Formats: sequence, C-alpha cells, structure tokens
Amino acid sequence: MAVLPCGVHFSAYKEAKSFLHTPYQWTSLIILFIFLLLLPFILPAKLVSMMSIMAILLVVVLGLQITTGLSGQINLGQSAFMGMGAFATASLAINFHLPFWLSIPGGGLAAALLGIIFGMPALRVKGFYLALTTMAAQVLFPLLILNLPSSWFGSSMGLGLEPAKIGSYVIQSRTGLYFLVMGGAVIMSFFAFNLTRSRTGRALVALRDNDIVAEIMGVNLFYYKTLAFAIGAMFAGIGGGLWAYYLRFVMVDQFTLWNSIWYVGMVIVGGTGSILGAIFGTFAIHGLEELLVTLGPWLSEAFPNLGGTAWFTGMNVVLGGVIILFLIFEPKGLAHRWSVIKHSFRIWPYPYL
Amino acid sequence: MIDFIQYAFDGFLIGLLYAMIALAFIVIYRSSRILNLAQGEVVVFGGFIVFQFATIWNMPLWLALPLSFICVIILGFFIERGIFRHLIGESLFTNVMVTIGLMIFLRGIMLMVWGPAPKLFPNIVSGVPVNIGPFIFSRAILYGGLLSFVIFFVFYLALEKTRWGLTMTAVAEDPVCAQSLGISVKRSVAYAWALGFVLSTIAALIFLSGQSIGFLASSIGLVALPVALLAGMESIWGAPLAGIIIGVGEALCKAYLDDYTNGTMSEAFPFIIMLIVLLIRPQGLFGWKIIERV
Amino acid sequence: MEKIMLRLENVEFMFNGIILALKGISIDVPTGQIITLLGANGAGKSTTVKAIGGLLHVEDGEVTDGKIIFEGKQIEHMDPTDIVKMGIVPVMDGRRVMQHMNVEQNLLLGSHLRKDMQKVRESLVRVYQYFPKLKTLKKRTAGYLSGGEQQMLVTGRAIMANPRLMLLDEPSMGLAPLVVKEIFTVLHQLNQSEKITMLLVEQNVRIALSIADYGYLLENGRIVLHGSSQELASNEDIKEFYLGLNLSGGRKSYREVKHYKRRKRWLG
Repeated sequence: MAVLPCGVHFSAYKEAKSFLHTPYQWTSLIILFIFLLLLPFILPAKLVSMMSIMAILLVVVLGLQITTGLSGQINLGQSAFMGMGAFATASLAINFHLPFWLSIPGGGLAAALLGIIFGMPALRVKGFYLALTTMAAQVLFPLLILNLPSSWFGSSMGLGLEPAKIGSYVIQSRTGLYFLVMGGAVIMSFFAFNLTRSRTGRALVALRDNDIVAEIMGVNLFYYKTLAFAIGAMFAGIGGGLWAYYLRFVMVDQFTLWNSIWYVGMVIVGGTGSILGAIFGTFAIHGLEELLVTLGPWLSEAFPNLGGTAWFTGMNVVLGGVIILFLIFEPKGLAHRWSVIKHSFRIWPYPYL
Repeated sequence: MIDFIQYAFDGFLIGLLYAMIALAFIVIYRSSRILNLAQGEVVVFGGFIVFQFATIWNMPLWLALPLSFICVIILGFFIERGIFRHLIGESLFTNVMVTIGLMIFLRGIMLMVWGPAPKLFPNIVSGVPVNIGPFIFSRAILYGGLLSFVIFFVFYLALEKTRWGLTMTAVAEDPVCAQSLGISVKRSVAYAWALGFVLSTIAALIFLSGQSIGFLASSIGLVALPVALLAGMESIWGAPLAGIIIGVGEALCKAYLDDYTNGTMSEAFPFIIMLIVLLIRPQGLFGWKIIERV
Repeated sequence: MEKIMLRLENVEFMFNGIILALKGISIDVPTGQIITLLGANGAGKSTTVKAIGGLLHVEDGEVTDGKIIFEGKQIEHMDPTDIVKMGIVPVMDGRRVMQHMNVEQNLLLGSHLRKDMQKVRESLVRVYQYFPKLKTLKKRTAGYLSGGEQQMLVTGRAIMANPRLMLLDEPSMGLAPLVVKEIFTVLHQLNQSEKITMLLVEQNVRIALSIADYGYLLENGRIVLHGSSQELASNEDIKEFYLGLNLSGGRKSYREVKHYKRRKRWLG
C-alpha cells in the first residue's frame, strides 16, 4: 500500500507525514485541478450535470466511508442524514436569509446533531444492531419532518429555495452550480484524506478493528464512536446542503432508505476503509447507472422484445450482483485493485519487491 | 368498546403474521449468524413464485402451492451455494453487507421478471370475512394466526429439543468449532435459508391472499425487524409475543393516534419500540445475553 | 510392529498460496498410543492437527504435497464432517465451548453424528464419571464456566463423539497446574481403558512426555527430532530448551543459556 517510488527518503517526521511526497504527485494533483476547472467548458452539458450530481453524492459517500468503512459502525441511515442537512440548509436560507456559505455548514451541523442522536446506541450495541438503529433513523426521519410545523421544514409540501449568491452574482447556470458543488466536493475530499492520517483517523480505525482492545489502549470509545457518527453525518449534511442549492427544492421523498442502501453499495464496491475507494465507488456505480439510463432507450429499440423498462430495472440486478461478487471475490473493493495495479506498474518489470 | 376490542384483535392477528416473518428471520440468524436484511424481499419473492404458478401458469392451488414450496427450497439452497458458502468465517460486517446486496439483487429480479406494477394475488383462502359475535375478521389472517401457533410449536421442538437443533445453533455460535465437531456448516446454512424461505412464503400466502402483490410489499420485512429484535434474535417463543405487542400497539396507534399525527404514528411505532429495546435491553426479551470475554 | 492408525507422509501445507506452514512432515500414530507433538509457538503444531481434521479450508489453507492416511484411506482433501464420521475428533485450542448452551447440551452436541441414543446416554454417564464436576454443573451456561471446567467440557464433548483418534490441541493452555494434572490423568485413563488413540499437541513438554508413548519435535514446520518419550526426556537439547534443566538434571537459570543459536542446531 504505502509503497513509495525509489529514491524517496525521509529525514524528518514532518516529511513523512506530509500529504504529498514527490514532485510527480504534486504535478498530477495540479493537472487534476486544472482538468476539473476546465471540465464544464469541454464536456457536453449533460455530462456536466452528471458530474455535479456525482460530486454531491461523493460528499455523502465520503461521510459513509468515514462512519462505516473507517470506523466500522454500520450505517443504513446516511440518506436521512443527508436529508436533514438539505432541510436544515433550505430552512436556514429561507427563514433566516443566510448566505449559502453559512447555511450549508449549518446544514452539516444539524445533520451531525442527528447523527450523534442516532449514533448514541452505538455505545451500547454494536455490529448489526447498529444497522438497525440507523435504519430506524431512516424510517423515522420522514415521519419527523412531516409532523413538524410546515414553517420549519415545509412538511409534506417540501421547501423551495432561492439560488445561492456571491455578492451580486447568482449561481444559477449549469457551470456555476458545477463549480459550487465541485468546490464543496474538493474541500470535503481534502478533509477526508487528511482525517485518515490524523490521530483521530487512527483512533477510528482502532475502534473498527477491535473496540475492546482500543478502549484498553486508551481510546475513548464514547467520544470516538459519537465522533464517527457526527463526522459521517456532517459530510452527509453538507452533501444535502449542496443538493438543496443544486435542485433548489427539497422533499422527504428524495431521501429514502433505498438511497442509503445504494450509498452502502458504493462504499463496498469502491473499497471499505479507503477514501479513494469512496471516490471510485461513487463514480463506478453512479456512472454505471447513468450509462444504463442513457443506453436504455437505445437498447430497448435494438431489442424490443425485452420490454422498455427491463434496462432500468436491470440496474438493480447488476448492482446487487456486483456488491455480492465484490464481497466474495474482492472484499477490499476497487481501491485495492487500483493499488495493486499501481504497485505492479511501479515495480515493473520485476515481479517481486 | 367493541371497536377497541376489534382493533386490538386485528392487531393481535397481524402481530402473529409479523411474528412469522420474524421467525423466518430468527431461524436464519440463529443457524448462521446472518442478519437477513433482505427478509421483506424474500417474503415478496415467495409470493411472486406462488403468483407465477397459480396465476400466470394458471395451475390449481393444490398443485401450485407444493411446486412453489419446492421452488423456494431450491432457491434457499441456491443462495447458500452461490453466496454464503464463500463467506464462512467472514466478518459480521461482510455478512450484513452481503444481505444488502441480496436485497437489491432480489428486488431487481422481481422488477425485471414481474414488472413494477402491482398484480392481483390469488385468493388462497376465501375472501369472505368471518363473523364471530360482533367482531369481523379477515379469513386469511385468522387462519394464518391459528396456523402460526402450530408453526411456532414445531420450530420450538425442532430447534430447542433435538440434537439437530443443537447443531444448527452451534453453527451460529462458532462455525469453526462446529466444523471441528463434524457439523457441516454448509448444510446447516442451506437448511436455514430453505426454512427461512418456506416460512416467508407461508407468511406471504397469508399476507397477500386476495390482495395486490408488488415489490413495494417488501416493506413488511421492515416491520418484522423490530419484532425479531424485541423478541430476542435467538428466541422462538419470543417471536409471537413480540409480534403481538407490536401488532396490537400498531393497530391501536392507527386507530387512535394517527388522526393527530398525519397518519404517521402507526408507521413509527415499531421503530420507536425498536430504539427503546436497543437502548435498554439489546438482547431483546428472551435473546441470549452477549458473553464477552476479553 | 504395531498397527499404524494415522500416517502423515511428507505433508506440505500452505496458507493463502504463499505461506508454507508445514515443510514436509511425516508422523506415524500407532493404534492405541498417545503421540505428542512438541514445539515452540509457530512451529506448526496446531496447523498439523487442523490439517488432519480438515479445518483449514476456511482459512484458505490446503495440503499442497504429501498424504494423510487414516486406516488406509487418504483424507487430506476430505470434508471435516466425513473426517469426524471416520472417528477422528479434534479438540481445538482455546476451549471453544458453545457459550450459550448449557453443559449438557454441549455434551450432546458432540454426539450428533451417532444414531443410537442408548449408547449416547451411556457415553454421557461415562463422561460424568471422568469429570464429576461437569455433572454438578449440568445446567450451567457454558460461557460462564471457568477455564478448567471449559477444558473438561470440550474434552468430554469429544468423548461423546465416540472417537477412535482424538486430536488434542494444547489442553493445558492457560490452566492452573493442578487442573492440568487432572485433565491429563483423565486423558491417560481414556487411553488406557477405552483404547482411544491420541495425538497430543503441547507446549508443556514435561506433562506431555509423562503420558505420551512417543513424541515428535517440530521447529519451523519441520520435524527435527523424534523418539520415545524416555528418549526425548533424556535428550540434552530438550532438557535445556524445553525443560529448563542443566546437563546434570538440576534447574537451569536463564543466564546460563549461552550460545543459544549454536546449540539449537536443528534450526535451519
């Protein structure tokens, strides 16, 4: 995993801990940023919207990766946390006229709070019992929203909000929205990458691998389990906030248990426990979905006897099958495959290290 | 007062139905330590198989039902062969996740084969309701409730009182050790899934008789989860008791509280109970206490 | 020449296709005897026992070379169930009781392959004779027993399977000396009166050699020394490295153990 290119030596801890080690890594990161900046101007409009949606999903899945992949707390309520963020963001923007750079973090905080509440049982129960409490969060969330006064979260009508503004510039165009959500995704990815190599990140991993031992070694279980949920939910909340500004309309129907399950699928396919895996998973699954949606009508035309809806519904079969196959044959997901490829490329032409 | 008793009895019977689905869940959990989140999908899948035989291929029920049961048993074995055999000894996390995959997969198959629109499920039991004194009961649910007691009793005897039951339980406790005693883990898991499928299909027959069947009906699996948890994930006798508690509570909420809560209280009730159970007594009413030795 | 019940011929065992745990070992277990496998941690003792029981498929381990022959039949690729059916009953290390079952259920579980309930009941009575303590704890949940009682329970559970060959993996692990003595006395009795052949894996060399007929010493997946238990007990190297005695038989202090690497000449 942590194989470095030949000739990289560290003479201080600070160097070893730094985010990027080689000029090559710096160059590729800069190229990536330039690419992301140019993307809306070179890609067709449809793909730009697709990238925007992916960026939002990425933030949410990153959060799930931190709660589930990194800290081992199974979470089937990520979509509810995302919804909480979206509603809170919208409500803050409408009722308190906050600008987006305040309302989105506000949404993140609200989601984190919900995450803490539903993560609390993690202190008493673990493993799949936790899957159940978070699932309860997911089921209870829409009921909660529906029963609160409609001036808060719009009840069953949903909330519509004004576009985000920077000074007098209104972020409304496709390109503008792309930069808004992609900016959010980049910031959150950076945060997530950094978390894994911090003291907190290591404590979370210890918690996942063996919580009793972690506690004996002085990891405060109460604090870190709650933190795992809070951070994961905060990511979801920020993703929800971006979602609110992207669609400018939020409703409980957008945040279902089924979505949560898909997010879990993305984490598994990408690779549990790896931030890079969350990125791979989101792009692979959502890309596949978009591909089927795009190709669906064309395929239905080519093979009319299979029926018009078969291609869309086939997505479930493909995804379910992919998740099962990954768990059986590649439990570490795409991220692992990627590191294996990178590794063998690096040591080529020698087969061993 | 009559209304109240009627509501309570309806809840009682529905609760027994929940308990049966929860029992399918418990049997799988108790014999393989797999938390089957796809339980709702399994129920509806069983229903669709009956639908396929009885309605689409137009077979008489006496032929369609046995064929369906054979079919779901084969399916249960197939799931063990295709998925869980490869996961023996894997972490709990993997096992939960794989049932999520299974859930998506089964739903996809149902959508592909039978389409998203709800279909009319055949009448297994006559749709004419039963009148007992001033009370009216749905015939399918009433018979189902009576049948469920027989089923609970049979499962209790089989799993708690025989050596075969002990071997099934042993697999759940410690698969590797069970293997060293000569217990075939593969076979136990396969039996567990086959039994789970059969129970689910019976529940589907009761639940869906004369109703419409569609993939959305799988949400009943979500209610069975709190029931199984309240019962204790290993307890056979806990299931009917927990089912009755949740069924009656839900029915009364529906009757008396839903008007004030936009019709959501009855939906939320099982999950609120589930949260309370998880916080106060995670092993449920009769489940095994987790013995953790460092 | 006594009859050989179990024979390992040049067995190689590999995990995950990369870790070679056993590098070609050959062991003979004659009918009716107690054979002991000695060695340090990681020498491959437990792997040997698990390989015989066919228990390592779950850990991606497999026999890559050589044969395991039980009464003329090759068993190295058989299912654990079939191996138990043939009369080979492993007792795994770590006292793996079924925590939530009570003592009697645990014992009955051991007999699950036997059809004749009358005989099973007789076995149960016999187990209670060997371990009277278990009888008093009949209805106790096994997870709450002490370590010694759990070890008695797993041994009793193996007896319930009516074994012809018992594979015992470190029955003395983490137990008080008196309890160890009690368990080994019972093992010796079982061997004498019921003619159960045993393959005994031990770290506690002294007590293992006290009941065994013949012993093998493993180092790094190879057999480096074997002989009857008297021979082994009088071997200088065994004395020095495993029994902590000096050449004249007195207690040896750790400080005197010089030239460890050089003396341990079987290494490598």
